[in-house]
Amino acid sequence: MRALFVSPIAYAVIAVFLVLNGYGFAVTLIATKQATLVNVFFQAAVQLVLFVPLVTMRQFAEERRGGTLELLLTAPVREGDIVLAKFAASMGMLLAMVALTLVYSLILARFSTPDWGPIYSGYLGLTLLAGALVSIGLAVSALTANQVVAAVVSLGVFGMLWAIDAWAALLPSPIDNWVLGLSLLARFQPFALGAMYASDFGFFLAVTLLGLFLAVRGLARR
Amino acid sequence: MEHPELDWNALLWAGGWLAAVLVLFATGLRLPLQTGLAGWRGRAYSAGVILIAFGAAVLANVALHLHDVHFDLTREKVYTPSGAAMRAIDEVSREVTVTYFYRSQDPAGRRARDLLAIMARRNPLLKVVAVDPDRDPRLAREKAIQIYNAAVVEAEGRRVLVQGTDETEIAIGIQRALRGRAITACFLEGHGELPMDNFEYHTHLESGAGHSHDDASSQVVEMPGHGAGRLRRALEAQGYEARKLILATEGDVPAACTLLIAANPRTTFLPAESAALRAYLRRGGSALLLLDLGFVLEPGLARLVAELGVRPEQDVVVDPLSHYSTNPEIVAVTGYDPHPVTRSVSLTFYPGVRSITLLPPASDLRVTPLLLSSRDSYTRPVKPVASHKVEPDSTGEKDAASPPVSGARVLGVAVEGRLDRDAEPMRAIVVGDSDFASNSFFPYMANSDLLLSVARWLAREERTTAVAARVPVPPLIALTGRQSNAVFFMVVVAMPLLVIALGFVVWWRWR
Repeated sequence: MRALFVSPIAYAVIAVFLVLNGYGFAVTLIATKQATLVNVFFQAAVQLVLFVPLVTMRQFAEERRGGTLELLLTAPVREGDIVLAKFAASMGMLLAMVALTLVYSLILARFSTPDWGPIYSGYLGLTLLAGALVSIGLAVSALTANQVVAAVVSLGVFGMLWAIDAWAALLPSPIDNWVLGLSLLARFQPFALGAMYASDFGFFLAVTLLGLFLAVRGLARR
Repeated sequence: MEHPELDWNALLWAGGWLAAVLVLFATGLRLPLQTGLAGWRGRAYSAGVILIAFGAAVLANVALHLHDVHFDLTREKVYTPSGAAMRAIDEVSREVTVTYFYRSQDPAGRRARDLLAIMARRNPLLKVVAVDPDRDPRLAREKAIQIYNAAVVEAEGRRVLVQGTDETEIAIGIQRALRGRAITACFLEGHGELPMDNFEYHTHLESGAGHSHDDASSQVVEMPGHGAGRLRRALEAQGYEARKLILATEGDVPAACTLLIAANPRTTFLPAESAALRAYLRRGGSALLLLDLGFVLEPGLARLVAELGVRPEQDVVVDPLSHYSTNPEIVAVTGYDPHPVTRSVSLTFYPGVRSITLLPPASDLRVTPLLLSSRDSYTRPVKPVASHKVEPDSTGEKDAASPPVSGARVLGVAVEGRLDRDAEPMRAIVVGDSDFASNSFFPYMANSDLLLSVARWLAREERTTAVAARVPVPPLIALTGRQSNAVFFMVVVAMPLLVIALGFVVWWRWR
């Protein structure tokens, strides 16, 4: 965690994230005059898809490339604990990034009476999405010694899972529904709107746990 | 607004699911990474463990999907379909496909799309496809859809078109597509009525003075080139069947006629026809009687209409306050008393409408005025169409023009109940005009909405549970120019700069 927060890259990523989201928030607010963060949540979700690979790419790949992974694995901690610690560090940074956008809801509350339900569920959705993305990113990072490869592969997987709903429409029934069920966008959308489902919550949780499990197994490639 | 209760069983199930998945994950983490097996055995072990993990994740998602719980956190519960709509979806027992055409920039359309998605998750037999015709015109062409916010419901070869963004209407459409019984609208013919096969318009009474719907039009007995084809098409789009009915030759209204439409009869009924109509209503039938200017009711028919509690007058309503275009004889109706027929109808207009006097109906009937002119309106007598006296008039129905009357006039009524104690419950709607249902005026303003609503009510297809259409209102924010600038500066400039400054301080301290 400390390594992440003392890195200037983290602050640069957070600043860019804030500029993009802040611009989207302000323009949408002024144009539509609606006290809602729905657009911010969708923007933030897209940016998580783009930024998470930058956060996770070096977590194991850098350790593997520098030869410190062996050292880490011989320490008196279990592989699962190492993966969970890396996961907690990445999530800490992403949550700090997302938490800064809470200022937007305070602005809404200052000038209006926003509907808090969708705001709560939107932040929950972003947290769950970040968890799923980070765990996948960690799993990819655990498989390679090259940071760029880790970032590109992660981005590819995220992009595919984000836009897979567009492909689903081309497939015959019932395969289309199964494929649609893998879409991060389709799973995230109800959270952003304030209409949550236990199955979407479970999907993100299952993907997160599966990603973490694969990251642990990836460490077996010593 | 009605909303389903929280499903505590499903919630408990989800809690159990969560515990099981976490236990499974913890167990998986304890599996040894290396087994000491060499070569393919070692690789098979790793692959097997990963495959089992994928399988467990898939099964866990399938299990949760089968016991899903929905939480609507919005203040107005806008993403929760009404209880009535959900009950309708629960009852779906065969495959149904709903193709919803919406404009992706339209919030109401998007909300309807989301509600349909919720309904689809409720029952796997319901498949919902949402299409923006601007982005996918091919499918819109395939389904012959040229409007936004329209749902094409298809089931077992039947097709029902539903317009609007109200999920309840779409749920009713699903019920209609799935129902076994056919709804048949029988268009009465043989008295110069608007023909259901005629799709022409604006040819009814052209002259040097333009259109006329007053005395002159009341004298016209045959009006070729002016029909009710558009009404028929609209009914067929709702899944109804349409057929002609010539009472004089059939002798009776067939049992297959769910509703009977008499749109602008011009010549006198035979007494037997009036008797057949009465017998049909006694059997629990439904009739829409559009009795235009000048039409003289045969005494038997006049008696029947009097039993329904109405008497069409030989006059035309002139409304200087509420009219369509510049013609005060095209009466416009903008507000309605509460009734299932007019619940979601806005402005309608009636070119050359006769007034209706309310009489005491038969004891088991309820009469509700549906359409009223404004308080400033008055009537002007018109001459009746020449009629043959088939028996002495004993009903008080006057052939002579009615004296002028001022004040709000009833233009249409809905009647419900039994004609007599032994009769079945019937429904009827009587309007003193048919032009609004003709091809020339059907598509304009809310005339088509009203007529489709009338048909649904007569076919007993109206909502079983009264559910008002919802119009979600997002919370609005009003910012002055200065406040807007302040917000923009704060979130786009100040906050990112603060983060960069913090990063610089941290880097400086740890370098």
